[in-house]
Amino acid sequence: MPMTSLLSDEMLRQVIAVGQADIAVGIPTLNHAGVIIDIVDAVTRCFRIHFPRERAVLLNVDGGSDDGTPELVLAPGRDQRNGSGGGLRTVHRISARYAGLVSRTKEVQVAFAANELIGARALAIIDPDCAVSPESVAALLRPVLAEPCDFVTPAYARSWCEGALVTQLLRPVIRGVYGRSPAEPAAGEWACSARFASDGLAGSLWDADLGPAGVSLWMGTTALSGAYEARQVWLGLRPTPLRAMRAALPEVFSQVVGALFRSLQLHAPYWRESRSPGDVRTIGQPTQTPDDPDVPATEPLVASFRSGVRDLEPLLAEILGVETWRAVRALAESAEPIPPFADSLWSTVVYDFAAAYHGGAMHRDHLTQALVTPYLGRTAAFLAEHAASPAGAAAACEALGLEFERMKPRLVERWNPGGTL
Amino acid sequence: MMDMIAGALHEAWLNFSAGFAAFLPRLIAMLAIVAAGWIIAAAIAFVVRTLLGLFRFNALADRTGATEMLKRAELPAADRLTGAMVFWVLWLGFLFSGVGSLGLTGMERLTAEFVHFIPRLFVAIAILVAGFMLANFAWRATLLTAVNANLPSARLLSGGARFLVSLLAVAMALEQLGIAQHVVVTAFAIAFGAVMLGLAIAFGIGGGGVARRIVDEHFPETREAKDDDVSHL
Repeated sequence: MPMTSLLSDEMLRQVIAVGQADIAVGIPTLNHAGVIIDIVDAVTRCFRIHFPRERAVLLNVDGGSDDGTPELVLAPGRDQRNGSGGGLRTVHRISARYAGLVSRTKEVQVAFAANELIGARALAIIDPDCAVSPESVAALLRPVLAEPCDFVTPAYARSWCEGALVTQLLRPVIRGVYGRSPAEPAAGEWACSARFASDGLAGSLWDADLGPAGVSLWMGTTALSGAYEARQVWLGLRPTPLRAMRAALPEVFSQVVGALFRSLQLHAPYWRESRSPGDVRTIGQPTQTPDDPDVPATEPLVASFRSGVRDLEPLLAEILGVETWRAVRALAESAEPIPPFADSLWSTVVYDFAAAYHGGAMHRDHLTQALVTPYLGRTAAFLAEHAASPAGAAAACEALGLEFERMKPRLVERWNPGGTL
Repeated sequence: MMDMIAGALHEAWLNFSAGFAAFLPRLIAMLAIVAAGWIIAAAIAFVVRTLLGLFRFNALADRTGATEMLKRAELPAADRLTGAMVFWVLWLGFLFSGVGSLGLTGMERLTAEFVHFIPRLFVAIAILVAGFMLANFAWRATLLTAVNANLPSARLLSGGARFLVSLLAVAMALEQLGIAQHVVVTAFAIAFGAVMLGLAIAFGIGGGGVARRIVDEHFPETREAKDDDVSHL
């Protein structure tokens, strides 16, 4: 699709009026009037303080807000009202809605298309649902401008029991398959080079609604698949969401795990042949993780796991290998208060799901939603194991990543046509 | 007297001989048509089975849930069943053509009715296949949504959804075939309310995620935290 056809007439007019730029920050919005002023203020200050000589553009891609979000983006900022601007150049702002269904995937695609016309060397995408600071935006943009770098993700300090989907599924799968993984593969904010954005416009997942985390996963795994330089930068503690927005877990799985599995399909020619290329290069130092987090109760997770395995037997038996299914069923029927879901079993479960997704064993949303039940069992086992001694959690996550690397041949074998176990 | 009887018998024999001489070629033609039809139908059925095997038709049947239903009905695998249906439809066509060649009174009408029945049969089969696919989709969607929402009796709910959709497909297929039309229509008039209620429940459960997204997009301030307190992302 020609990039100009992705942009509405209104956006195209604004983009042409801006001309060329050095850096751009894309902010996808949909009814974010309550938080957008702080976000715009942080981005504007980032431009003025950290990139005073660069031509900068704030690019708001709006999904059709009816609460005045685009008007707030274009309204004079606090520094302009106070006359306290410090930049040498005018900070341009673009705000326009895009045509079509509302989706984060579409918003990023429009931002990429606009960036192609603007010619910015570095483009950051900001999640408007999380707080950002001028420093965090600058930290994402700087490596792209200063180094031979195409993609930058944030790394956050989090307590050991936060982000179970990231630590137990996303990170180990990406590490196992691609050989390395950023700490936050599903963070809603990231930055990329002009080359990465330009190449990305030819991507094949733009029509899918992947959600913020799913788009990040797709972009992040693309950056790991050979042709690009990826970095991660420590940004301190994970920012708290500005709005109470927590999608239901099955929907999260459809978007995030679906994006992960689709990325595996896209990049199969790379990862099936590649060896472990090492770690993602990290910029900065990690900060101290929060102490004494409240460990979630594991009993509801275990109850959901047991009943889910019993009810989903026809589906799980179809997706998993014979031995894997027997082991999962035995685990669910065990008398242990918290069934110990071993790393080896968890890795085979996830890889069997990935292979079944690739093989089209069933409707893909159904398949990703069927993974929720085993995930709850694994999460309960992880939380219960380290509740008493959290110090070992990081090492356990590292061991899980190694186990996924070790089991990669199983995925490769099942990935082949007719490959069953 | 004896001459008269002998004459009558001779005349009858001559008539019979003439009739048999006239009928024998038609009988041989009918047997040839039926035999050749059997061979042709068997060959075409074999080709159909082979093609279905190449295109992994059984895997598709597995995915749509048709295999499970066939097993329950103690019917052969989907590719063999399709091949058998092709064979019987073709061979019955040849059989009617062969019998028609005998020139028996009323056979033309029977043959014409059979020819008109074949399209309806294929439409009914298409309705059944589509119905079973839809029923299986509804079953999986309802089962997964119910399990992930921690609803009790998830399998009962999903089984009910599948049964209702299957029932609708079977009834539509029977109506298409013209079999027991009055019974089918009457049964549906009675069961219509129950079916609609079942579909409403199935849609309410299966479409919960969609409804939640719609509400979330329009009323973001009404979003609520999930029931478990695990931080997933």
